[in-house]
Amino acid sequence: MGNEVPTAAIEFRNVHKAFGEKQVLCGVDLEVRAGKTTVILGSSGCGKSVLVGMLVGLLRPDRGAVWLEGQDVATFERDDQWHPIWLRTGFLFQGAALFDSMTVAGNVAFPLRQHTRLPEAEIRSRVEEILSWIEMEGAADKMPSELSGGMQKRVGLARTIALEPRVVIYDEPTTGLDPLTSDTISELIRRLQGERQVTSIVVTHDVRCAFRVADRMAMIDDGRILVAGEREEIRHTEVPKLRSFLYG
Amino acid sequence: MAAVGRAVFELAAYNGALLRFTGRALRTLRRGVPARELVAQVLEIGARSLPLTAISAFAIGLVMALQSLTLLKKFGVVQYAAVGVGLGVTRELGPVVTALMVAGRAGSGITAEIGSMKVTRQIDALRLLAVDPYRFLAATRIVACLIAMPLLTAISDLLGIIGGAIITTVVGGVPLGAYVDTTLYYITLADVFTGLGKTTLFGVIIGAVASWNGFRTEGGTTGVGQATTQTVVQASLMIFVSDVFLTQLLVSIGW
Repeated sequence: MGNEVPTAAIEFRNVHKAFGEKQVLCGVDLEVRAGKTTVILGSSGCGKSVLVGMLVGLLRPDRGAVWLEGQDVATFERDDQWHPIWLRTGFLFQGAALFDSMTVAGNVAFPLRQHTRLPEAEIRSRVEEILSWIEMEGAADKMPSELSGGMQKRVGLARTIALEPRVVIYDEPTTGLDPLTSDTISELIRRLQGERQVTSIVVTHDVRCAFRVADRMAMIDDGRILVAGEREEIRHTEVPKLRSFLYG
Repeated sequence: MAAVGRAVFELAAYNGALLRFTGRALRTLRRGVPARELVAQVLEIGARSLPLTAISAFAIGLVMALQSLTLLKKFGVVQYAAVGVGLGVTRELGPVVTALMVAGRAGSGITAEIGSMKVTRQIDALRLLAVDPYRFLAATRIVACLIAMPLLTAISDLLGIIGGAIITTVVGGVPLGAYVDTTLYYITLADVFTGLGKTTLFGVIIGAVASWNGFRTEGGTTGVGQATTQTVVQASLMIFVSDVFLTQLLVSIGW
């Protein structure tokens, strides 16, 4: 493969990462196809959040290449190199990471106010539209602390997609939520992919969510990709460790 | 000896890191000032601190006048209490006490806010929304402290002098007109601006230390508490130390 630019939207090549003595990733190779949702499965602490953190500059690999839409982002040294990537890549944090000094509407409007020259009336209209899309029209003036965990995740997603990114990364989007709320989040992920054809990566250990949203799935084990394939291939896998993870 | 050497080395490293942080934050303003956030912070820091700084300055004016009168009565020159109060408040106590109050009230608030944002990944969220946290959070707060401090100090100076006037006229029996005349005769604009000038540096110190400790916060809510305490201690010490050097500098150049 060498250093040639990949055809996939995202590609990890031989990615290594250690924290002190602990080797978390040791040679991850994974392709993510454009316009599809790829779920990365794995038990807690296996390094799946570490892997996607490298796509947006939260972490750097010790070795290997991380290709995102034609650029090896592992070579980036400065924030100004990341800037265009951040503008077209949304990242939904596990805890939503809403700005708690702002209202729901303020959070969703924030990226629009920072990066567009839209008049305030237009921004308000866009915010209403996005809040309506996540079915939270009535919550515009609420503060994040007044929201449930599921609602915070939805608002986090609304803020993430405000600038209409081409790539969206979900870090444990359903962790800590009850099954019904998890289904609501999964449905939003599915709808977003269907309506806007975004390239999505969902990191989760929630098998129910994984099967609901995935086009393709991959499992990390012992710092490497144990298996990767189409959703139905994974559903009928014969790999013992994966079967055990999926079905207990 | 080794311990002293280590302490000096740590102090130098601390100041070096703080200066680098401040420089990095302020350099981001070459791309323009986030005006909306800056105005919000000036109002927040000013409004948050004003009641405390105002009451403190007024009380200091009262106490300085009481102490001055005790001494001046012995020499029969109680009207000069206005000089002691005016000079003390404008050149030294107004700026320093205001800075200490702002460090305790607004500085700790800045650290708590930024520290909470750090541990709940809101700072990461800012970066990934392509907003530079050094510009949006740190630079705005440093500049806001720089702007708010002289304004708060000017109010403190005025209230300190009013406090002194109340005691000197009521307890010392000096006519209010004489107090005002003495103040205007002996207290020059240079005295006032010397104090206000110092406070701009104090403002930068408070904003920088508070923001830096916020950015360095680790370890959840416990870490936020520790960072907040560090801000009050470090900023207060730096205000005292820089005041000594600044005062010496100003005296040496005849101000």
